[in-house]
Amino acid sequence: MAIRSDEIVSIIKSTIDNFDGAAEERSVGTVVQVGDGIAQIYGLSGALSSELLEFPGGVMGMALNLEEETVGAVILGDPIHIKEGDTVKTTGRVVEVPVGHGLLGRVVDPLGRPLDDKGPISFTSTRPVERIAPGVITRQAVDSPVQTGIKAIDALIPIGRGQRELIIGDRQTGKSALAVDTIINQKGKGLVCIYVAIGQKLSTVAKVVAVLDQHGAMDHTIVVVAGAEESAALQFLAPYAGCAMGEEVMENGVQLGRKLVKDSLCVYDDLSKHAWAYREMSLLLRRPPGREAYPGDVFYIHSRLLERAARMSKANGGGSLTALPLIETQAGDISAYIPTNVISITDGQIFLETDLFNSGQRPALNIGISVSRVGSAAQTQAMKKVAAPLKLELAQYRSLAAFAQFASDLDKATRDQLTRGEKLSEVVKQPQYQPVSLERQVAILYVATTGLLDDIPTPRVRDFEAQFTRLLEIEHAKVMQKIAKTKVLDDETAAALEAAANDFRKTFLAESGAAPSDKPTIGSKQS
Amino acid sequence: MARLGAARRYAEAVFELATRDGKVDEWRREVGIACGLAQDKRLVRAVDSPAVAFVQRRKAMEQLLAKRVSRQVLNLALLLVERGRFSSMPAISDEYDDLVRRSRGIVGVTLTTPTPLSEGELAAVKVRVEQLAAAPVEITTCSDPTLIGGLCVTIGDREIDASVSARLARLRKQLIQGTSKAAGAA
Repeated sequence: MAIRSDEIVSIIKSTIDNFDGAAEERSVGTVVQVGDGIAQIYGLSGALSSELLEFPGGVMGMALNLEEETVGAVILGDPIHIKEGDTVKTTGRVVEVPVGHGLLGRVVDPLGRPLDDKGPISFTSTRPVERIAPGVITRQAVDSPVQTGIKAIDALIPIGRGQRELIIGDRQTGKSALAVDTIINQKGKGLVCIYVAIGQKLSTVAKVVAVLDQHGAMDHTIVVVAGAEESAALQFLAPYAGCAMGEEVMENGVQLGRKLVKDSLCVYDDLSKHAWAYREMSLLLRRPPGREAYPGDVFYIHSRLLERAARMSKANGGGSLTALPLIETQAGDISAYIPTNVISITDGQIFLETDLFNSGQRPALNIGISVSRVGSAAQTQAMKKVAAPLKLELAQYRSLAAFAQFASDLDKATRDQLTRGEKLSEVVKQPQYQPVSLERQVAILYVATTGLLDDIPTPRVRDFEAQFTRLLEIEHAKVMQKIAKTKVLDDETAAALEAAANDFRKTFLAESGAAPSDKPTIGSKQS
Repeated sequence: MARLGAARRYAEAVFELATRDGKVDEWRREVGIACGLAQDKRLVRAVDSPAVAFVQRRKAMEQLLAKRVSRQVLNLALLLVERGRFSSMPAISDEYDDLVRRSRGIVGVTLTTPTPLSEGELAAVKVRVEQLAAAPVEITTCSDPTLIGGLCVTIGDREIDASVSARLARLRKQLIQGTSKAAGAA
C-alpha cells in the first residue's frame, strides 16, 4: 500500500495542474437549535434532501427536513462542539462511502472510516449510500444458489443469489449464528459478504469478528458497524452503506484471490434496531408518529433497502446482491408492525423458535412455516433430488407425529413413517460454526431419505453422519468430488453412495452392539 | 444575521407601523439608537432583570431614550423591557433592516475581507456584487485576517467564497484524496 515518492510528486503535479481556483458558491445557514444529535438550521435555502452539510470543525450532517425557512439535519459525528449561531454550509454531495477491494477484511463505520487497527482504508472510488434499486429490465430471475452450509436451509428453504430471505425469531434463537455460519461457508465460493451490525453491543460485534477471523472468513468479508453507542443517524445509515459496498461488487466486481467476483451477500443484523433508530430520528425531527410511534415511511426505508438486492442479467454484468435481513421478534409475535412489513418485502422467511431451540433442535428452524419463494429454482440438481423426498417425508412426519401423540398402538406403516421422520429430523440438526459442504449434505440426505438410517438408534444418528461422511471423503473421494464438481446426483453416484452406506452401517451397528434388523424400534420422541 | 422567532414577529409589527405612518427611515435610525444601548451587556442585564421593579426599569429606560427617539420607539423599548426581552433589540433591528431592504428590492450583502477595503475598492466590488445579485445591494463590511487574501461575499444565504484560505483548504482536500486514491490503486 506504500506509495513511492515519484508517485506523490506526480499526484501533486496533476492536482495543481487541474486545480480549479475559481470562487466556490455555497448555501449557508445558521444553527438556531441543537440537541439530541439534531440541528435546526435557518437559511440553507439551496440545500437538497439528504445532502451532506458541513458544520464548523469538520463535523458533517445530513439534511432531512426541508421546511420553508429552516432545515432539520442529523449530525453525523460528535455534536458536542456544535452550538447555536454556528454557520453551516452545503457541500453539493450526498453521503458517500468508499467501496472496492480495499475494504475486504476490514471493520468500518457507516461512513467507511476504519474501526480496526489495520490503518487507513485504501480506495479508488466512492458510492452514494442511497440509490434507486435496479429496474426490471436489468434484472433476471434468481437461478444459482447461495450455499449456506446449513443442511435444513440448503435442502428445504434454498436461498438464491439475488434473493432477499428474512431470518426472524426471538432473542437468543440463533439468528446471527445462522448468518455467521453462512458467511463462514462462503470461503473460496466466490461470494463477498458484508455483515452490517446495527445497534448491537460492541462486545457481540467483536465476538462475531473474532469468529469470522478464526475461520478465515474475514478475507471475503466487510464488517460495517454502528454499535449501540453510536447516534441514531449512523445506525440508520449503516445498512445503506453496507448495501452500497455490495452494489459495487455486484456491478463492478472485486478481485478475490485470482478471480473477479461479482456476487455479494449483505447481512443486516438487525432491521428491528434499524427501525428503532429511524423512529428515534423521526421523533426528534418532529415528524408525525404513526403505529407503534414509527413514522409513516418506515415501510419505505426497508423496502428501498431490500429492493436493492438483485440478480443482474447477463447483459448487465450478471452480478448479484443477496440480502439476509434479520428481525428480532418479541415473544414470538410476528404480527407486530416491523416483522409484518419486512415479511411482506422479502422473498421468504426463516423462522427460528425458542421452544425448538430449547428442545435441542439447532438450528431452531420451524420448517413448517419457513418458506423461500424462489423455491427449487435456486438449487443444484443433486440437492433437488434429495430435497424433494425430504420435504415430503418431513411434512408427513409432522402431521402424523401430532396425530400419533394420542394413539397407543399404531400399524407398521405409520410406525415406519414416524421412525423415518425422526431420523430425518435428527439429520437436519447441526452444530454452530460447522457448515457442511454440498457433497456431504447430498450424501447424508440421500442415505437418510432412502431409509438406510432407519435402524440406527436416534441418539447415534449424528455419530453415524460424522463417521460416514469422513469415510466417504477418505475412501470414496472420487464420488464426493464428482458431486461437488458436476452438482448432479446420477444413478451411478447414487448406487455408489448406497453401497458405501450399507457397508458402513454393518460395522457401525456391530460396534454399537445392535444387530441390523428389518424392524426398527421407535426411539425417544423428538419435537 | 436573520433569525427565527420572536425578533421576526416584533420586527414585522414595527415595519407595519412604520409603513402605515410613512416613517420607515426614521424608525430605522431610531431603532438603531435603541440597538446601540443594547450593546452594553450590563445595561441589558439590569433592564431585563426581574429582580428590579418594573417602575425603576421603566424610569431608567425613559431617561436614556426619551430625548433621543420618538414616543413610538420608546414604547417599543418599554414593551421589551416589560417583557424582559430588551436583549433581543439587536435581532429586531436586524430583522427590521431586512424587511425594509426586501420591501425596496435591495439585497443585504456581507463582505468579508482580510483587511478593510478603501472607498474605491469597495465601490468596484459593489458594482460586481450588484451584477451577481442582479439587484441593488447594501453592503456591510467586516474584516477577518484568517482569510489571508481575496474576499468572501454573503448574499442572503448564498456564500461566494473567493478567499485564499478557502482555496488552500480545497487544494489540501484534493491532495489528500489524490494520495488515498493512489494508495487504493497501488
